[in-house]
Parts: sequence; C-alpha cells; structure tokens
Amino acid sequence: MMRFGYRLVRLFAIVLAISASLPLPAAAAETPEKMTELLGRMSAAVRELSYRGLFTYEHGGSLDTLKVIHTVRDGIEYERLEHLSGPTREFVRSGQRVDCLPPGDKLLRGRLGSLGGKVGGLSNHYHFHIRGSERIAGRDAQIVQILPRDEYRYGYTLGIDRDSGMPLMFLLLGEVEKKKRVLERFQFIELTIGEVGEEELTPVNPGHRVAEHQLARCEENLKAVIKSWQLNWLPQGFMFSGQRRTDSNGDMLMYTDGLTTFSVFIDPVIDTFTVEGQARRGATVAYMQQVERRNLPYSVTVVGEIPPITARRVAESVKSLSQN
Amino acid sequence: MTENTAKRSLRESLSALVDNQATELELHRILKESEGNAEIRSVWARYQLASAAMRGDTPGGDYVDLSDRIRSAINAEQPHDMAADQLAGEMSATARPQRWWQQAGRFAIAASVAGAVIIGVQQSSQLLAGGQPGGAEVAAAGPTQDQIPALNPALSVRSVSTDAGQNRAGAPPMVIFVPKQRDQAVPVEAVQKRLNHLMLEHAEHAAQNSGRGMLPFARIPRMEEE
Repeated sequence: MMRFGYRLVRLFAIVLAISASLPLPAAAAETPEKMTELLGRMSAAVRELSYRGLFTYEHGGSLDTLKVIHTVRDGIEYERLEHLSGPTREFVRSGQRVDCLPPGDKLLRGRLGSLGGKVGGLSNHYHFHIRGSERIAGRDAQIVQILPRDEYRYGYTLGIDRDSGMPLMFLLLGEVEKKKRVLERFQFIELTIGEVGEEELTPVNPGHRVAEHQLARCEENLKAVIKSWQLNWLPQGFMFSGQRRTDSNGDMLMYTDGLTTFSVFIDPVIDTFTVEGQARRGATVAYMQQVERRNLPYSVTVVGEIPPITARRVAESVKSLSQN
Repeated sequence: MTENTAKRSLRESLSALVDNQATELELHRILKESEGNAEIRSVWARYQLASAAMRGDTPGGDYVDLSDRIRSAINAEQPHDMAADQLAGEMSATARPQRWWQQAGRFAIAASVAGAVIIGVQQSSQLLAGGQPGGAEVAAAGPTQDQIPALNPALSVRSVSTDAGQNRAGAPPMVIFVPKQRDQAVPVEAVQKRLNHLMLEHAEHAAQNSGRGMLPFARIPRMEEE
C-alpha cells in the first residue's frame, strides 16, 4: 500500500512535469470551424457594414495615415480611400454586389464549393491561435495570431473588433535575414460604424483614381483562360482569382490564399529593358525575370505580399505553352 | 585624430557597410579612402567573406571589386536641392518633378550601391533564394502545438515600429532592388517606374482578395502623373 502510494506520488509528479511543459490552454490552436467563423465574420463586416475610419499604415519604419469610407446601398458597395499624409492619393470604388464573393472572401468564409478538394481550408496552411484582447481604436479587439505552416507565406497578427467583426489591426510578420520582423501594419485609430453620407463618398482630389470593382466574375469557379502561358507551380492553398490585360498589352494573372495575394505580370519586352532581379518594399516583393516565346523576350514579374522564395518559384515556373 | 584612430573608425564604417548599416556619409568616406588605398579594399573583401561565411553562404563566385564603378556613379550624381530637407545628402541625377517620383533619386543610389555591393560578393542565386541556393524542399514545418512561440511583445498593438530594415531611421522607405546579374547596369528610373505601376495594379487585386477591403491601397507608393 505504501509502495502504491509512492508510485502514485511519482506518477503525479510526472504528470505535473509533463503538463507544465505543455502550452497553456490559451495557446492551443483553434479549430478550423472557429477560425472560419471569425474570419468569415471579418470578411462580411468589411463588405457589408457602413463605416468611416482613420487608420495608419506602417512599413519600413515609415507611417502613413489614411481615411476609409464604406457603405452598401441596395446591395451594392460604395467606398473611398484617401491618403491623408504624403502626396495626395485617393481611390474610389463602387458597383460590387455584396453577395458576389471574390475568391478571397470565399476562402475566408469557407465557401469553396467544388474547389474544396484542391484548395482546402485556411487551416491547412496556417496555424490559428486566439490571444485574448487588446484595445484598438477605443474598441475591444480579439487578437488572433496566424502562423504559416510552410515557408511560402507570411504570418499575421490580427485584431478583430468583437462588436462588429471589423479588422482593426492587420500586422504582417515575415522573416528578413533570418529574423522575425513586422513587415507592415494596418491599424485603425478611429472607426465609426453607421450610416455614411453621400458627400463622404465623393472624391476630394481631382486626380483620384477609380478602382476596378470586379476583377473576376463571381458566379462560377474561375479558371485561367490564358492560352500562351502557364504556371507550373503554385504554392499550396493559393487559388486563381482573376486575370486581365494590362495597359502595356501584357497579361496579369491573380492568385489568393484568402489572407494574401500575388499577381503575375507577363509583358512583351518592347524596349531594351532587360533587368532581372528582386525588389522589396515593405511587405511587397517583386521578382522579375525573362522568358522567351517564339524567340521573343517577355518579362515575367511576380508582385505580392509573399516571401521572396515564393515569388521566385512562381516566376520561374511560368512557361510558354507553344514553343514555336 | 591620429592615424590609428582614423584607421579604426574607417574599419568600423566598413564593418557597418558589410552589415548594411552604414550611413551615406560613411559610404562616401569609404569610397574616397579606398581610391588610392589597396589595404582598405582588401579589408572590405575580407569582411565580406567573413560575413558571408557567418551567414553560411560562402561566396561561390569570385570577388569583384566594383568600388570604381560605384564611385563614378556617385560622382555623376548632382548635389541635391536643399529644399528637400530630409533628403539632404541624397543625390538625384534627374531633374524630374518631385511628385510621384520623389524617390527616384534616392532609388538611384540604392540600386547602384546595394546592387553592386551585395552582388559583388555573393552569387545571385543565393541572395535571391534567401540563402538557400537550390534549397531542398522543406516539408511543411509550421510550429507544432508545443513549439508555439509566446506572443512577442513586439507584436503587440502598442509597440511602435515596423522593421526599418535597410532604411536608416527617419528616411522614407525605398525599394531595395537586387539585380540578378552581378554586373548588370540597372536602368533605375525605368525599373522604379515599372515597379510602381505593377504595385498599383497589384494593390487593386489585393484590395479584393485579402479580406480587408480597400486597405491595401495604402501600399501605393506614389501616383502616376496623369
């Protein structure tokens, strides 16, 4: 009996030691369902609510302040974004139906339809951890840490408004020279949910830009219909999200994993412009290189908020479909 | 300043340059000193080798001394208009209007210097692959449950600064461009113009597919002049 008691104590000590080395419950990974609920709510809030807000955008040690206004009328989105610091830059966008989900939103809301098998949920590509609360823009935000499962994407720390579901903070974590760093941060300093007046949506700068409201049709599953080129490699979890012709008579192919995007530009080389290499600004990386098609040079540029290795591998996988 | 002290401080500057931490002033001094001083150039080469070895990517290519080219590139630049207060010390070879291209001159220096200095020593493939030349496929190596790093205080909403990276404190962020060919002449303005245009088109895409509405338009560096 004594002996049994001793064993029990020893067992207890071992259990204690093991449990001490386990992560705290707060650090446990969230279930895919919970994350789809949280991110889906965020994706819906951004597109369905009416709001005006001031936010900061920070990268590479510099800080910009911006204003964003969004509303929905008769199921159609109207929005405006304006830089309040630096040179005037302003964008207006309108016309997107709220019930028309671009691929990014489909991924965030877990609505993959027949694509499901191929892409899988976000949880296949990220670890999610809920980290309690922070106060952001005077509101109570739930902090979510999102860590990549592979080297082809970055991680995030999100602050999501408990009340409205709006993303109050979007912080991108990347590795530069083997050190973890914050590469960019969007953070609201003020956010008001509620009706927005017509005048708030009217652009104030004559040089404003009207942004495309719909890059891809929303009804069907998208497929690239580009005949001359193909991508032989895509990082897992990224899906095609649209294509268009660029001003320079080139092709632009778009891809998203729900949280981040990259674009592939393929342009005929018309001048003596033959630079190949990699550029970086904040979280955005661009990898340029050349390919040939029918003995003519084309430049391939991959631009996105993705690690350089991803941009490079995608760029290198672009192949001409007809060699002659 | 005695000769020894001068030498030491020059070496410190060299070391800073290897780590991408040197100021413009230091860079100019190094280039000036190295003009007639073979010792400085060999110290530079040694530091670069040591630095590469420490990072685990020993240079596969031969060391190329590009200091002559950099020096002439810098000499070709015109002194900067002091009115652009913060940019003092930067050089703009062009007289372009200071609108959306405000950073073109800054970029000129960044590209010729960063490109030449970095690429002179390392094989481009290593640089571009982030130090993993032809890297073996790494299986999905996300942290497992018991390796979850504690939430770093630096990630808290209250912390102040994003990575200033290669930028010196207070300087506006710039595009760091690393050409693939080590001795490639970079048509700096053309590259910058094209990159900005592509970033604008890309932002339009990101503003639809990354779950945060129009926020990605914040990344637009400068508007094109219509």
